[in-house]
Amino acid sequence: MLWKLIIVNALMIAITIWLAGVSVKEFACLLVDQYPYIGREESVHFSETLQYFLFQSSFLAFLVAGILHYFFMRNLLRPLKRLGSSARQLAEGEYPPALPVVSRDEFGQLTADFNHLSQKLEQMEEMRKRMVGDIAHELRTPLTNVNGYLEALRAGIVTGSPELYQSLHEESLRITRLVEQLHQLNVWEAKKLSRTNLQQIEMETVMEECKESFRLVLQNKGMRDIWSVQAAQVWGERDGLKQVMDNLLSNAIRYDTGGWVRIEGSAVGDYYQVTVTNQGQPISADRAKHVFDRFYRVDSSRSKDTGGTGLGLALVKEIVEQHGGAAGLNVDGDEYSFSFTIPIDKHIPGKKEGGGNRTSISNS
Amino acid sequence: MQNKGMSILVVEDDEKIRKLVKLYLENEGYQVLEARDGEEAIQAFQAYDQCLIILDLMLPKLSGEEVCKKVRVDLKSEVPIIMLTAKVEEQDLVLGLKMGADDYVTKPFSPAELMARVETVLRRTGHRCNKITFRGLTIKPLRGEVHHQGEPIYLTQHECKLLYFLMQHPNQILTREQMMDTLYPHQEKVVTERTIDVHIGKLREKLKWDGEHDLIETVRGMGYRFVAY
Repeated sequence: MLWKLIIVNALMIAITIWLAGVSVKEFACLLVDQYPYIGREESVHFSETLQYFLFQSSFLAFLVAGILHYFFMRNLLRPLKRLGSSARQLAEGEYPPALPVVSRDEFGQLTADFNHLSQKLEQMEEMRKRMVGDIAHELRTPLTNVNGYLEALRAGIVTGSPELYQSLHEESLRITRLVEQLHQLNVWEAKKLSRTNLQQIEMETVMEECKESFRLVLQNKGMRDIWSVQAAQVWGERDGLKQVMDNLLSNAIRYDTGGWVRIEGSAVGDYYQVTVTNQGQPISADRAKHVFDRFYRVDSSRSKDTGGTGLGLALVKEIVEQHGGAAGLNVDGDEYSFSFTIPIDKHIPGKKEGGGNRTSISNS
Repeated sequence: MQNKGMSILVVEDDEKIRKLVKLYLENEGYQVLEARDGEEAIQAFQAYDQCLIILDLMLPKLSGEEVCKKVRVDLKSEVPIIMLTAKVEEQDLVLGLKMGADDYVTKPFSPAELMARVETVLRRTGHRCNKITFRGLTIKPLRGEVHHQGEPIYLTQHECKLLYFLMQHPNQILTREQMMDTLYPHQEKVVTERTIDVHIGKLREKLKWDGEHDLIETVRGMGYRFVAY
């Protein structure tokens, strides 16, 4: 690359000088020819001298241009070379250190972009590793139970009873639920919502259906539910919105300590905001920031008594953000308000209007 | 069985796993105490001073690592600890062993394998643990201490020796003669079998046992028996 450029450029310069030189020489010769006092031999001699000088200067120009070009191009191409070797490293699965951005031109921009890309890739890899680790970790406890009790049954240490089978079944259901939620999360991540697959939905009907499906659970738990829902049309996907409501309500019931849950839905500006409030198990302030992270459990022991998988809220966040809204948690004493927003009608999803990434919404 | 009377503390927050480990340990003849979280574990250990701790690392309230540190540093105990955990990274394992664990078992584990590991660790370190525990009653012969559910019971030297002798042979009938040989090995005193009866009587009184069946049972015409289960 470097040599090709040098030769081509040096040749161009040599040709330019040669052409310019030839025309000057021809003109000079013409003038000399017309001059009456100069003889034929002298004229030929003059022309040859000029010819000689012309060759010399063209060759010199070619050399000088080549050398100058070599140093100039080498400096110019150096960052490109570094970029190349870094890219190869990246392809082999190593993460090269960030390259220095030396200039503010296209090369500098390219280097900066490359650095960004490499950083992003590293983050993704980190996330993937953590995720695989988390999944394996979440699977270990139920698997310990299933394996352990089956081994005990075979060895005759315990005898089978309906209760035991029931409890083992619960463990395998736990694994099933985890796999199911992982799948859901994957589906929603791959899905790019656009206007074509969104419908106009009456939010109040979604809430009504949700209320109906949770009526029995709430009754059995002896929990009071308070609903105050405004009617509004939003752009959304029915199944997705139902899933969001479902997860939030399940959480409120699972971690309930107060015996009540309040569901509010109202239009706030261009968004429809749904808030699910309950009195629940304590979440410390630094943990509240992470509740929407995958596999994040407020209880550090990841105790399974509650049956959560640590994916429910991650799914909520994913779905809501796909809709162009935001999900958040607001803590007031021991009252926890999980809320999410969905753009009302005219908004086009995908465009994240007003902080689409807000993780906290102040509750009025 | 050699395992008889060895007490083990199982610290695990998942109830099903705890029950499973308990079942297996009891099947092997160990006395098992359970703790659901880190704080309970520390309390139980302070009260009963078990021969071995099986410790889960991810616990509510106080993490397994903290429990391990507390036991080793604050309580200055050399009790063998087997860590039971879902953390499988090599660095976690190294960290656990450095923290003073004697062994490290990762979930999902085979209970039979856990039993083998418990046995190995106890074979190596169990000689340090010569206390015997049955039905909540613990005797430490070297210190002459007796505890019931963590409460100290004050016994005389003879009573302590007698109780230890009985507890060394759980569910086994011991004759008065055998007991006399243990208490007065050189027969330096002229004792009658009555003396033993008196000692047993006092022992029963001090133990204040109010359970279903007596701890020390009189077997007519033969002697006495310590009822272990």
